[in-house]
Amino acid sequence: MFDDIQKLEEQAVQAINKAMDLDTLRKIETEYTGKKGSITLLLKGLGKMAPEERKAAGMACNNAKQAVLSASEFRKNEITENEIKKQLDAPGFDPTLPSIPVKQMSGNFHPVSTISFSVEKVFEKLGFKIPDYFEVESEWFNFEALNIPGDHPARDMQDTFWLKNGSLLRTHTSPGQARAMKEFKPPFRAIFPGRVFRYERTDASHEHTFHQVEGLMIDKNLSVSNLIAIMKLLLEAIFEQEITIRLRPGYFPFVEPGFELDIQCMTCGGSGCPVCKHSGWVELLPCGLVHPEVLKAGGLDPDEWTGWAFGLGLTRLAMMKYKINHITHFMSGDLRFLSQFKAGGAR
Amino acid sequence: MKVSWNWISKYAELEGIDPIELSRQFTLSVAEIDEVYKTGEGLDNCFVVRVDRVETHPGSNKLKLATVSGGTINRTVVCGAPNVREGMITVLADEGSVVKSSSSEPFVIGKAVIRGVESTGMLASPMELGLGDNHAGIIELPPETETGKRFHEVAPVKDVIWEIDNKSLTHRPDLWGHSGIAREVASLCGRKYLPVSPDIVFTDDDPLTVKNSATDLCPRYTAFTMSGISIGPSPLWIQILLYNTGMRPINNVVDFTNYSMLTTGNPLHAFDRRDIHNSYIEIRTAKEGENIITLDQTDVKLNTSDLLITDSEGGIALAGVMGGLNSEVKDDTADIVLEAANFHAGTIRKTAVRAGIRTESSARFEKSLDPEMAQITGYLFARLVLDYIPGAGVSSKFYDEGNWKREPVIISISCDFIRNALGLEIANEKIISILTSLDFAVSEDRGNLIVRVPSWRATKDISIKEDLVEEIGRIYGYDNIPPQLPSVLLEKPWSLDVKNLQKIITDVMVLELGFTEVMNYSFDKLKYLKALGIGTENLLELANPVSKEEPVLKTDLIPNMLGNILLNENRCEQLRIFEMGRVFIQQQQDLPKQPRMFSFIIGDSQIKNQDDLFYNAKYCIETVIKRIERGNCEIKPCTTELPWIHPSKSADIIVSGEKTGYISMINPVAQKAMEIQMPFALCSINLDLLSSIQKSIHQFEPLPKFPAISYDVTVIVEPTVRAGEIIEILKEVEPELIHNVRCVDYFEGEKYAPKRALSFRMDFIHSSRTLKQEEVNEIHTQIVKKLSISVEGQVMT
Repeated sequence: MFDDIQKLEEQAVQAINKAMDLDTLRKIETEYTGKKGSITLLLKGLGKMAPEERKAAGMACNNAKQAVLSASEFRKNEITENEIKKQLDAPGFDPTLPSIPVKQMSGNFHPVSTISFSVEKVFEKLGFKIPDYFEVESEWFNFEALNIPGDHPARDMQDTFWLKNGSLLRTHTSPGQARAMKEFKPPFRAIFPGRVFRYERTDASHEHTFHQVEGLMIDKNLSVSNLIAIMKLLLEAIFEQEITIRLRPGYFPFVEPGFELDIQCMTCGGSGCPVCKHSGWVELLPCGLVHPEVLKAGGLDPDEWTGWAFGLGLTRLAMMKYKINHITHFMSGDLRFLSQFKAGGAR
Repeated sequence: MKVSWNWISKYAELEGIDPIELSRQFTLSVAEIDEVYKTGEGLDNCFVVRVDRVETHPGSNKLKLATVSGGTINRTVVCGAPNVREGMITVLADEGSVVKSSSSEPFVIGKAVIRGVESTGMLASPMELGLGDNHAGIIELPPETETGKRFHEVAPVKDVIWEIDNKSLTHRPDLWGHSGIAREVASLCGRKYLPVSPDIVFTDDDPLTVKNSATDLCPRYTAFTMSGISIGPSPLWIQILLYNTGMRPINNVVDFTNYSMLTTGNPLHAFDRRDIHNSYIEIRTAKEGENIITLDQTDVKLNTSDLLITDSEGGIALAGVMGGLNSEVKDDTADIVLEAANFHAGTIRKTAVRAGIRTESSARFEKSLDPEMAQITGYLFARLVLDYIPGAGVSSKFYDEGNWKREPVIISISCDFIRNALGLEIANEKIISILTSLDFAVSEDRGNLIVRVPSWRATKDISIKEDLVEEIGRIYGYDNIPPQLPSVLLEKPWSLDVKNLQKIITDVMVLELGFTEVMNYSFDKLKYLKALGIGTENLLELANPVSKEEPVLKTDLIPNMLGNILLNENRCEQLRIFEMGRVFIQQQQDLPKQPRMFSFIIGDSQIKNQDDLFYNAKYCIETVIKRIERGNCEIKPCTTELPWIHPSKSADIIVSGEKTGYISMINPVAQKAMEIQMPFALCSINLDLLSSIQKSIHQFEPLPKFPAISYDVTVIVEPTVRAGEIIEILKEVEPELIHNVRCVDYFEGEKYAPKRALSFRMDFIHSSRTLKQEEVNEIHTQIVKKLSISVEGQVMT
């Protein structure tokens, strides 16, 4: 009896080690340990034996079964690795063979790109430059140059992603203001869209990575009146309808005067609904005249130059335009979300 | 912050102004009001009554029958309150009153028969009158209250509350109390402002020692003592105002400190006089290892930047944040020390954040309060105590320690500057009247203004000309500024470099090649890096990562895109995604290199021959390079080594001779480690490099004057011979005559094994005449010979 078990095990292991592919291996495994496998049959036959003998024989059978299974597992890894090795070494592969056209399929723009492109188009037509600035920024450009002093709450750990080397992930697109002032000779006008980062927990309306576009115009004698006119023009171009806007005082260290710009709720037309929390207005973006300290940081003389700036949340705008209720969809890479947006075009 | 219209009206003459209408203007000119609501609605039929008689209810031993009177009222009502007694002054909510029930649902009072006794109206509890959560008994009014009056005539229950968004007040330390709001409202309405100006006479009966050892962090510390206090409830009107603005009435002393704070914005603190050891108060920074137990029983470990109020034994208050448990006002407190101070905003904020104790007090000190307010607020408190606690008196000097006095902020500005900045024609007189209405002192000389900023606006809010522009603009109303687009000089259009490239590529990928654009986080996941065998040593580490799983910035777009495959592969057969974005490469200078990359992945779970995906990817990148006009795109042996690059099924992408990226089948080791099932190929291009390559505009080729002869050749070669090599050889045979050489097909199989057959097609064109058949035969012979020599190729016939 025990000899039989021993012999079966040896046979099985030998066969396993000779197997060259996974199919053969699987067959061998079934042959010995499957429902009608020879080791299984031996086990079933134990019932006829005397109890004390039965126990020892049972153990031997089970041990043999385990040995076969583990040998099979081991061999399986060997075969897979061999196959991978074979795959890795493909001397006949010729990358210079003719390319194969892809089959027709429907592509999709990311909704944030679509919104960004539509903003860019408006400003391009108005002669704005569209530079693209760094996402990892220095503390100076992100804060100091924007007149945000060292003890300002915005500079706390709880709002900013810091790198161990002391630089940071820009918390807004505004560091581009001083960069643009240093890059272009005034007068100039520019917008700079891009991703920004806030150190915060994500939920339906908060995300640590999102997109903004900054607008900046530097010239002589720019006024609040100019800013209101530009913002109205921009928003009507984006929403493709007449928009009523209003400015309220808002405090941001890098503009003075600073505003919160509201638009009349497009869902209810201003009569009040859940979208605008029954106020008739939706807060959309901060803007203002560039603070003299920021002009200085950008190397410009505030007695000579004036400016206005705004920061528009592209992600938020996309949520408004497409009625997207959960902000984390944007960075999810989930094609069920992304493939819903067919419209648009970069150019 | 909740603001009461009744309270504002104490500090400005506002008769006839509609607070609901005005709230819109306030939002546009001062700060955002989130919500406006009325209190005390439904209480018109509530009357002040006297309880003349209390009898037992015939049908219940818990209920009583109370006979009440006042004015024309004289009736008996059923009452279940334990505190009802003869002689008390209370409130009858008569038929038609709408009161709050314990579930805070409105409840209309009518006639009822209660256990056989008919009863009209009811005696109401504070909760039922909307004045808090006290429902233990009926409300008790002071005995001198005139009966027969409507309740809202004797108590400010009918009010309009503005809930102001605190965020919109961060730069306005003067608006954290009702008097400051009243000043703005008066200015908006053109009404008179009534400043807080109590007058107090001090004595020297109970001397203290007040030592300010931290004048940098505590610019002003004022204190005085009061004695003969009996702790009890504060007047009903104060309780109502506090309750309606979100504070719980506690007792007279606490309520008076809160009332004073909510009036001027300056927090106060009252200590039990008995607990101030040696009558000594010192303001100093905490010592290393010192701690204090605050009123809420938190044991706060202090560090040397925290500001502490101490007596001779140690801390008695965490300055500006919360008082100490050891010196709190108790039910038997008779003498107090009142602190009215001014603290450094940043210090208070840091301590409050670190200790995790945010209070009404710390929220206000964080805003840089006006040191002048400390004294006014202290006086206001003393006035309340003197007026409402019989027998109480001031028992010390007014101690005032610090170096808070500042030169007034003076700004000179021209009216033209204001007009230009606003883009608004506004008269000098209007400018001056707006500034004056906000208590700016203005002197004018032909349109040039010298403006003195009031102390409560001078702490951080207003210091430059532009700040005054805002004052004029907001009070005048931004809505009243006519929009006017700026005039600009025409200039040379700006070339968009990488941005433009990105746009073209995006269009080609989506519209022509059927890809979906993805955006992934800028962080790498440790899980993926580990599976791919990438160490984190050279990666940029975050000091405060969003999670331990994502502690580094990504150096490549691919790992997160592999994650995209994992997420989507079970839901689609074909997967085509691309991403464009910056990656982050550490370098010596402080900012990392941040090249812009473009990567795409093309996968197909049903594909028969997986290698076809490589040639699909090749097709895509060739199409892209053609569309952006950056010259020719060559495929050369791969020199890039990355964990996902297949060592033999990969190639570099050479654009106009420059290596700009690679294309590869997924490396099976990486694929297995990432547990991805779907076969796919990938491609990655450095956009910064690509855009630096000079644009090369395709130049028109004259159409051939003489017919082209299309010529095919199939050659059997070793599998290691590349089609590209053969194309080069074929071109070289007769460069003048042979054009458009391309590989059109290849064959493997037993017929050729181990070799394979490659088919090429080309055009023979002579520029000045038609080729003769003999010439074609001659070229053919050369081709056969050349292929045989250079690649041992055997041309099939």
